[in-house]
Amino acid sequence: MTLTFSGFCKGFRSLSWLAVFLIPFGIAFGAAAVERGIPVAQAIFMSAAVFSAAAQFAALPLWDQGTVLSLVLVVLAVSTRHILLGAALSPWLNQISRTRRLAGLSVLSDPNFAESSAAFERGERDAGRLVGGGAALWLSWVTGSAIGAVAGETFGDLNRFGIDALMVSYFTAMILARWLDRWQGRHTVLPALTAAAVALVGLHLLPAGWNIVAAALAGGAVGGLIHGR
Amino acid sequence: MDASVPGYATIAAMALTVYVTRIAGSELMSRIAMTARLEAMLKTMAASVLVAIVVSECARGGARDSLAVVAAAALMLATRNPYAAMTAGVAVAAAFSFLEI
Repeated sequence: MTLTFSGFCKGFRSLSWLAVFLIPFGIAFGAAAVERGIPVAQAIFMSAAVFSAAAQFAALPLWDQGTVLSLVLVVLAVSTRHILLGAALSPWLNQISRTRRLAGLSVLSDPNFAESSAAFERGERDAGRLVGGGAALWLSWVTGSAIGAVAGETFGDLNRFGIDALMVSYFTAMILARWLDRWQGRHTVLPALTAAAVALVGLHLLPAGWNIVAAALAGGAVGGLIHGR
Repeated sequence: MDASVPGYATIAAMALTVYVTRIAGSELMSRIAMTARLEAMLKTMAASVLVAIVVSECARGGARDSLAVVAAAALMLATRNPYAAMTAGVAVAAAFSFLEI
């Protein structure tokens, strides 16, 4: 495994279109933050530093009365998925130097996770693509947030353009990309069904986001059991 | 309360929290001995996360999101092109919004 600038460029290009179409999400956050009374500069800083739509949107309702501790706990709760993403990438990422790894992981997010893990399973060995994809996402998130913070009300409801289906469509494509590249038969079906079932059941029983964590652990456990020693 | 009171220090604390979650998985795994079974578990977990996200979104979004996913899947299987898949999904969702279903 390596981490090179060439990989960075590949990853950046690979996610650049998705990133452009994610700008409306950033606009939605910027507008919502300013509506809460958060100063424009702080809203933009938040997107640049936190770089997590889930954490930022989850923190907004608490902004007025929340303490630092409660904000941190909410952010932690919705961000636990990152731990799984990092662990899932570790078979590849832990082969590069720790410094590069710790720097590159700073932009870990669902879409560049999806793109990179599919690429690594295809045989790609340059972790730069995770960082490059993350950089594209970061740019779009910060740009969108800035636009939204400054000029949010002018856009109205962006969901009428179907933009909210963008991410889930991308993830669907990434799930199928694995299958198309290397059909693994029964080894993928049972874990996927397990994950789907746990996700659905957990959606109503568990706090927001935790059903994803539970589903991932369950699917992983089934995958480990099937694999044998 | 003035909403700027939480301020930059709070935002920094939030940022640090998220960063820790981003590196925690990898750091944890670097301290555990890797076995073939564990590696299989981790790789399966990667696929499972995406399946869980898509399924949850379909359940939450109803017909609109579910059909968007079906359209995306169909285009991906037909063209092997994720952009075609994304376009199809967004188009279906937009059509639903337009028809106000």
